[in-house]
Amino acid sequence: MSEKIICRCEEITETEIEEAIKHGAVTVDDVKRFTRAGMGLCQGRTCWRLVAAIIARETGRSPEEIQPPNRRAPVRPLAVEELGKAALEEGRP
Amino acid sequence: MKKEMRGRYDAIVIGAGVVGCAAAYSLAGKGLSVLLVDRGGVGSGASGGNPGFLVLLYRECPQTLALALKARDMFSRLERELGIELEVEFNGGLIPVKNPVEEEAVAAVVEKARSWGLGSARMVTAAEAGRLEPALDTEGIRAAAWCSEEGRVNPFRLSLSLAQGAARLGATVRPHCVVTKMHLSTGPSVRIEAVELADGTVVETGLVVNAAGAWARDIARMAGLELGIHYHRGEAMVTEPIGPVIKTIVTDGAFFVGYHDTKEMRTGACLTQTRAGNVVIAQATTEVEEYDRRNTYQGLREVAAKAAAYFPALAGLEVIRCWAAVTPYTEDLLPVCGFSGKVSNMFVAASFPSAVGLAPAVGELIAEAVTGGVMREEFRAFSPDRVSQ
Repeated sequence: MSEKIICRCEEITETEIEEAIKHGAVTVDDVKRFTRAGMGLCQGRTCWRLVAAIIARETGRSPEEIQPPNRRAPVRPLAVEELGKAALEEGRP
Repeated sequence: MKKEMRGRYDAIVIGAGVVGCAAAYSLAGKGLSVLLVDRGGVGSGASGGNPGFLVLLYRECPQTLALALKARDMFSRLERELGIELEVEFNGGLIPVKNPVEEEAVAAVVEKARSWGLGSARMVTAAEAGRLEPALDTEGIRAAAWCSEEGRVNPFRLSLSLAQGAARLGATVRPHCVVTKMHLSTGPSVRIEAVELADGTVVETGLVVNAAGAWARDIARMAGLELGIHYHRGEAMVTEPIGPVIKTIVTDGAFFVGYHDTKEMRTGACLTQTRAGNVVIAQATTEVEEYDRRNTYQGLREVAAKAAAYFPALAGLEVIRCWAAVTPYTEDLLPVCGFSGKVSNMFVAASFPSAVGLAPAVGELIAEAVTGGVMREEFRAFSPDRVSQ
């Protein structure tokens, strides 16, 4: 148990992640839905391996068994207007 | 939460989305032994992929409005019972309309809601809409529908805390547990004797609650039941957190015009801001045949452009994640909720439009129907028999 920050974007501690695992989280995405770890600006790029290591330790599995979280667009943050621009240029909406 | 699985349960709830979790919670609360399983994590399907709108204005029929009103009144009790802050806010809901066609369609929705007893539903002028939602650019908006009683909930917290609540009441909760087969006995009607899981475990049961959402059709098929359920894919995105900008839940008036006349993608700007400050921007809707959760560039960029047109303050905000969720619907747009006439001990609970706003009440309805052995008369219109072969 520790107050060590694991997800820096959302400031989620190791204790909070252990708590989520105790309540049935077994994947990185489960931990995300329980705690918000990995929901921030970097989308878990920094913390997912740390989260996976905690899950492995707490559930007695090897870290290689823990799948990475679902990846989604955008690859890096993109402004709403930039994303929408292509549509406006085509005169669509 | 971890506990040994028994060999037999009074009820197996398949699907740990918001409806399945609520059903497990209410059934366990009635003293039934319950197993709640999901092929993925709790709330990992559409129940985690929606913006958490607590919809009242555009409910489908008087029954779903009644359930939504009942659910709304249950949230503060649930927070106490479950010991968790569900981030419920009732700041109202707005449907801006941009042209006479949308205005007519949305005014009809308001009239219908009022005739069903939702007195707080009304049309407002563009200027009023701007006062209710100050960040909204009212240029190009003709009018809006408004309901002060609508709100939002954190959809993750709702499913997860109901599952945990069910576990505290004695239910066994097994996420990442795939149902592969059902053991049936045939007589005058089919009966499910047991459910087989991917690891080969066979669990006997008195009742199966099919709350499998986008997989409800596949689960029903295991018992020989064909459900006439179709699928929509809804695409959405979320921005970085910012200070308070959007107060209400905003639904694009475009979604009320000729909604089911086309199989083409439909896009509009539906928005809300979460307690954490992220702005959720939905949605592009497409009819899909299979379970397809991919995003499309067309859908995302049209939604982004429309959101920025409604709310210029969002233009420079960074989108940090896009996603898609698949939700079931029926041709009459009503939920499928009730005992199957063909499979005597399967209760189907799927295809609820905006399910987060109904689920707590649906859980109680299911528990009441299961313990009483009969579905309440006013909900017979939801019977799975109308969409099954």
